[in-house]
This record gives sequence, structure tokens and C-alpha cells, in this order.
Amino acid sequence: MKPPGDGGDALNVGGELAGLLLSEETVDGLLETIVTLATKVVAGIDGASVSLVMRDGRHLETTDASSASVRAIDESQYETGEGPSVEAIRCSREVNVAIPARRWPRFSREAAEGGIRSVFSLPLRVQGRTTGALNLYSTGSGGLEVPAQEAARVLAGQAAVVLANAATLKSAELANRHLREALATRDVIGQAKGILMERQGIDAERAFDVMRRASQRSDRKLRDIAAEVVERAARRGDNR
Amino acid sequence: MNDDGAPARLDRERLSLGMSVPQLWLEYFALGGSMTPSQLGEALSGAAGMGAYDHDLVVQALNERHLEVGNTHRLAYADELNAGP
Repeated sequence: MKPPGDGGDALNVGGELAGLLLSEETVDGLLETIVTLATKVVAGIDGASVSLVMRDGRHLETTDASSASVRAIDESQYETGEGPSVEAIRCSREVNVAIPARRWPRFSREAAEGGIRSVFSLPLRVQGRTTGALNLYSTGSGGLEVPAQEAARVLAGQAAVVLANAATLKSAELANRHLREALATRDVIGQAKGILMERQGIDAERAFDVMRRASQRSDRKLRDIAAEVVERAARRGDNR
Repeated sequence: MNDDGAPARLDRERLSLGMSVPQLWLEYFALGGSMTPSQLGEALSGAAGMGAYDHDLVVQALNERHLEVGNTHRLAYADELNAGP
């Protein structure tokens, strides 16, 4: 790995993130890695953060930041609704500004207090959808050199893909778990129906009705009623 | 089942509970239902019929969601609807 802030190596950036695509990193781990990579491979920056759009589609949150002061500068933008990160996400375009920025007086004050002289916010975009921004903060005047800007673009592009994949994987894993749970519940209810059918000489729909009425009377879930039926039958079997 | 308005009522209830059709289907499936997710969607929209048993499985799923969120409201089952007021 190159010395901190030495950056400008877009290929290294892409390589680092590509390796994360199929790893077992959680989304939180990925975000931390992205912020760490930004500070190491993009020359001339002194802080970085990732802003993500929350599930409600409106609120923004800094999920990872290289320091508390960077996080505070991000959060001041969310409170006021003004600043490079907010604009990068809202307008889905890069925002490269020197501080102070006349259009954002409050943000400029907060950033200047943190020693920040320029900010480069890049939208994280996958398949036309902007899910957040990568924010790069610099204490030097003049902004980032062109090679550093290129490295930042590669990082933001790869980060967006990695985050989208992680979110998709998480959704698929959750759906898989829910389906497994549903199958297990269905199995217990099926066993209970079989026991009731055999004991009471009724069909499957009547057996469901028996458990449904018990569920109504006791205000308990049918799966819990079914589990009791199966457990009692098992105990009865053990006692023979 | 002789209540043509039942599927629409179930679908309104589903929406009021903030459940998507796939979420409702998962609960319906866990209870023993055999419609596919798209068949359930069609039944709820009225594009296809729904028998009394499937109706009651959906009602059970919705009532259990009411229970989870602490509502006292409960939907009527097919035999209760057929019995009338």
C-alpha cells in the first residue's frame, strides 16, 4: 500500500474494491474500508466520509467518517439541507468547491472551523440511482489535482457497485431466512393437522379450523397452537 | 364463499397493515397455503377467485399481524361471514 495521501493510483483503488465484491464483508465493514482507502490512495485529502440516503428516501446519514470533525461537518449539511454532499446526492453530480463557498454560508463556517479549505463530493450511483456520496475533505487550498480527482472517481464508481452488491446480497440472505422460517412453520402446522385428522377423523381443512378457533379464543398465533398439538402428541407417545 | 367483496376487504386490510403481497404470501404459505405469490395477488385484486379455505388462511395471516402490532381488530372468517349478522 502506498504512503498515506500519496494516491493518484486509480488501478490500485479498483483492485482493492474489486476484491471486496465476493468477500464476506458486511456493509458497515465495506463503508469503513472505502473511507480508509480514500484517505490513503487519493492524494491531497485529509478526511473522508460516506453519506448514504436512508430507507425513507429523504434523510441522509454519515455512515462512516475518518474523524469526528468530518462527521460533524457532514451532519451540519444534513441539518441545513445545504452543502456539497447534499447537492451531490440531490443533483446526482460531482461537487468540487473551495471554502468559503458563498452559496453555503453556514456550511462554509463549519468547514472553515474544522480547517477545511476544499471539498470534493462524488455521488455514489448504480444503474441510474444515487444512493449516497463519497465526500473528500482537504485542508490545502487549490483543491485536488487532476490525477487525484480521477482516483476519487474510480473509488466512487467501485464503491457504489460494491455497496449495491452488498445490499442485494443482504436482501437475498434475509429473503432466504424468511423462507426457511416459513417452511419450518408450515411443517409444524402440517404435522399438527395430521395429528388432529387422525385423532378426530376430520379432513385437513377442518383440522385447520380447529386450530384457527383455538388461536382466536386464546389470541395466540396458530403456529404456537400447532406446536402444542405436536408436543402433546409426542409426550403421549413417550408415555406409552 | 358467497361474498364477492371479501378479496377487496382483505387487500385493503393488507395495505393498512403495511404488508406487501410477497410479505402476506410468506405468512399465508407458512400457514399451509398453496397459491403462488402471483395467484394470491390476482385473488386479492379480484382477477381470480379465492376459495373459503384460502380466504381463511389469508384472514389468519392478517389477524396474526394485527396481534403482532397490538391491534384488537380482527377480520371475520368465511363461516362467520356466511352466517351473516
